[in-house]
Amino acid sequence: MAESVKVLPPEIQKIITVREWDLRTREGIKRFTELRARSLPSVALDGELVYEAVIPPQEELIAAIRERYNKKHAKPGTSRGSGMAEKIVDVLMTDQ
Amino acid sequence: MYIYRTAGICPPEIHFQLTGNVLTGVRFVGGGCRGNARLISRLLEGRDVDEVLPLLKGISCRNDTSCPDQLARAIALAREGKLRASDEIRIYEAPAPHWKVAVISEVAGNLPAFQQVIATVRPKVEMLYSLGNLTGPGGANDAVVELARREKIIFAPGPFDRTLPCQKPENQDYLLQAPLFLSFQLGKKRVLGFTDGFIQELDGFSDFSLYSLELLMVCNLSDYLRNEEVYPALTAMTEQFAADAVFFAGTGAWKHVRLGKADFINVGPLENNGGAVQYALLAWEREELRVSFEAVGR
Repeated sequence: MAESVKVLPPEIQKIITVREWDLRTREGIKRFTELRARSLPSVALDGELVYEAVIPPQEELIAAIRERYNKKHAKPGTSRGSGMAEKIVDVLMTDQ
Repeated sequence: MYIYRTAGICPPEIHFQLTGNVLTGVRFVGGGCRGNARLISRLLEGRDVDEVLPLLKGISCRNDTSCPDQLARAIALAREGKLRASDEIRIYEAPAPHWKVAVISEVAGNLPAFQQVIATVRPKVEMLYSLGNLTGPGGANDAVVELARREKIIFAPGPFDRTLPCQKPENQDYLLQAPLFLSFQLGKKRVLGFTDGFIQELDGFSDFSLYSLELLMVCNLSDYLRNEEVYPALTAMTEQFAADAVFFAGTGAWKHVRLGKADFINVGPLENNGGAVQYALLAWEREELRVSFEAVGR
């Protein structure tokens, strides 16, 4: 997996679940088309394609995850900091 | 061949053969340490399973298991009859390279059109290949299959061909025994042909077998080249192809595109609406693959 995703700091790892998809497999292709991705590698956050044809630098990825996390938990009636992995990070790539 | 879906290790599948007690063709596929995996495969080739099982069992690498440990579990399941052997996906490999070939598809039991293409196109090329479906609903299926057998036409069946559409058992056998992938050398290009994505529904199909990548990229990723939005990904994936050119049928369209290091050729049906017989001509000329779609009036 891309290094910047693999070595995310523990406080980020705690709030996300990372799923890596290999485009050589039927499962990976299915997810790729569900996300309407076009290029490799790509990264989706919470089902939304955010980076295409690039794995972003770690700081940028962390900021994007935090932004989505904060936005989600700023909504009235939602709890904050339960410690559960809530964000799904889909990494679409291919193992050479 | 046995295909074992692993748990807890890097390679998602292990492939192997077991003939009596003799282990052959061990492959850890889809991920993991390639060098080590190949070494294990070589060391295990032709060995007696009773000798090797104690060596494989119980090794821990991650998640309380390892590649050798998973292989040991797979062998045990196979011996207990709990893991079923799959039929291998047959591949036709041409014995000699070609320079000019014709490809047809969707004969669909149309005997006059098939006779015409054999009489008029075949003499102009070194080989006439046919994709499925050779047979069709209400077609002269036995006569078409008998002609194909007599003329030694190399063909890869389509889904209808596998529904036992002939009356004579020998013709049914011919359809069932036909290779699902066609492979040949055309000049300097390695060319691959198959009918369509039904192959992935067959028992012995694995995402990680030879030519599976080409099939999945054509059928599943690009929807037979119709989804042009994914062409950037398709282009990138051609770097991992074993073939340089891929021809296929299944959509009724005629199309040729070159993406990355591969040519993709969608071969349409043998007879068009106007009654003309159509085929794809693939030739190696001036150090280049040339593809054209030709028609012969009837």
